[in-house]
Amino acid sequence: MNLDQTEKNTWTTVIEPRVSLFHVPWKEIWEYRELIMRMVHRDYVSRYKQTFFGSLWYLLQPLFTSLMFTLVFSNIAKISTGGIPPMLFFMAGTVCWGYFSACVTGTATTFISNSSLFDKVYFPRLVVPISQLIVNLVGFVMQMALFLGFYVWYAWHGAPISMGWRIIVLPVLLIQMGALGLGVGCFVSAITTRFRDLQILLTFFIQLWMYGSCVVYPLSLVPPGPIHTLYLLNPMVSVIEAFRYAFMGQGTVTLFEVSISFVVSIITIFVGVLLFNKTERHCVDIL
Amino acid sequence: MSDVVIKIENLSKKYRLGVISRQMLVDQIESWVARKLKRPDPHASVFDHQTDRMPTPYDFWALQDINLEIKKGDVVGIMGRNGSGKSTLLKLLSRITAPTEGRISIRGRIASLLEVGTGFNYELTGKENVYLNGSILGLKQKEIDDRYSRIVEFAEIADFMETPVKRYSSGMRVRLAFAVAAHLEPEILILDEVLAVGDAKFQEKCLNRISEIRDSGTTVLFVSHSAQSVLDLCTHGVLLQEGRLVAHGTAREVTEKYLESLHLSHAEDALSGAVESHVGLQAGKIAQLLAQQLPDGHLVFNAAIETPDGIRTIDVGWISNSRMKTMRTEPTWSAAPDISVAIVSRKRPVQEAEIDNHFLLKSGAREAWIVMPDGTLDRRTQSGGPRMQLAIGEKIS
Repeated sequence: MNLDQTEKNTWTTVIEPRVSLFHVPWKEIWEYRELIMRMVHRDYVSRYKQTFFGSLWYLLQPLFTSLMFTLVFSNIAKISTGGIPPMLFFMAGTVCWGYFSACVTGTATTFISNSSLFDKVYFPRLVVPISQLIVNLVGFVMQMALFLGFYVWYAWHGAPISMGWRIIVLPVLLIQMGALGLGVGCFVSAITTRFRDLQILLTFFIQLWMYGSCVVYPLSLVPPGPIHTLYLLNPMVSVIEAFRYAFMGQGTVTLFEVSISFVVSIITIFVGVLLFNKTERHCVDIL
Repeated sequence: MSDVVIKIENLSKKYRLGVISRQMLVDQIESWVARKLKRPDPHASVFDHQTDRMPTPYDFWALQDINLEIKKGDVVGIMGRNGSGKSTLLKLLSRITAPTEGRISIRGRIASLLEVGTGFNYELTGKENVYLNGSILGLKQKEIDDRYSRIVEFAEIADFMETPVKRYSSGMRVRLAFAVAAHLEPEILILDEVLAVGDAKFQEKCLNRISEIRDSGTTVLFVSHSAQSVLDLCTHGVLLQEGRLVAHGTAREVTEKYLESLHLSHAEDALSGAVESHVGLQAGKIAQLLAQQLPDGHLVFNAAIETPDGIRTIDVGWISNSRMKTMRTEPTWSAAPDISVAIVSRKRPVQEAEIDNHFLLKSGAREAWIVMPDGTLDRRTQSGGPRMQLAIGEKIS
């Protein structure tokens, strides 16, 4: 028995039928970190290749969206932004939401768009969503630069905004958004390998979700009651409000909200990864 | 025991057939309910593999109870007809899909080439793709750096490395892809024969490189449909038939078994009363006899073609070792075997076979035979050359 055990220990890889669904191969993913970076490079380079504006699109998108929102929601609909200059308000929301939705859509198409690759080569499949998160982070950083540019301009012109030590929460918010994006994306990805029409629902659903996430209006506008409670269940609400609070000093952030948001995020990513693992094992057989 | 690099124990893989649909779910529920009520299962398949699990007509066992040990340095040819489970075995070894039962234990780094150019992105340049492809196949940055110049040299496209791959011709792409694959240098390599692609010159380069890899002590698993390639390259062989391991031994033993299995099926599914089935049997018998009676040589099958109307045209030849050495410097199709057997069928009339034989005798064949549709052998020898003494008569029945 002893000999059997030592013999077993000398094997590099053992392939067996049952691997726990909760298993995340951290060590393996770390070993494949170079592949992750290569995929990040590949995605970044090919996204806007042979386009006129190239990487500038990362900035043009939130810029135009914020301008449009300012025109429609602030100037025409006259929705209050709580004293914050409208452009900044909308840009903050757009940049955050942009990162989140990019993570979701990037992760959601993992199995379907990579089915030929997965069919031929082994690497831990989580490498693909992780590389998506990182690529989107690059875009986020560029958009933050744009945001800060506007910020400085407005602050110099005396807008009632203040930044302080609060911005230290940004990494935490990013991690939370990434985790949520990954979780939801995994969930969608797992289902779309079986029923492909859900992909179409996804884009539609993300758009609707945006309107329920206080991107274009502050949480303070929502009347207390059952609707308000519903809002609290949306983890992105807390993230965006916290972002605005951190950078501009105005936002509804309570411990209660933040903790619910964390709990929902953790559950989402947990379930997402579980489903991802289940799908990973069977996707080659089904797709 | 210590030099076993791959150990496969009781490996089985089951697939679900059919489209995933609501009907499948309904059938499964009906089966479950019937079992619970102790009634006969309306959907039970006669071919139950496991009695304790609920049988479904949708289950297909691609591999059943495979037990295999491969030692370091073995060059193993994996053979079998289409549908025998070769690709499934490869996928399991490459960790692309998980086994249903059993276990695979591997010692050493394993690289699996099921396709060349995996993950190539056409927007990136050749150089970027080398790094991407290498990374996907498991190489580290430093390793790719070290091998980069050799890869470029092998692919013969040094001037084009900074151009996006979408501008490459298909031949260039394939050469680049194989160049990366050829420099993986893993401890265990799984290779599909169809990877040797491109024009004839490059194909030869690929096969040479495969030989080099084999000679360097890498354990190689080589999947092939051609008995000749297996005999050329491999030390051992494995034969799969309908998901089961039928033979495992030296390359010669297993190729013989494989050829046997081929010509048996000729007789089975050829058109009834057709001459070709008889001929097919003859070809198999000749092949066996040649292999048994003639030492120090290799059996060469030139072509086994499956045409829509079921006719197979096969040529058999025996090449001695000495001639084999000289044949290496020329493309194989222009050098003659020592004994060539041409089979006459609807696709190849007697006149054509005779012309071929005449040419072969001129190119150095010692004997050239023709198998006539009724099974008779017509033997021609090189004038003045020694006549081979064989136990085959003029007519085989």
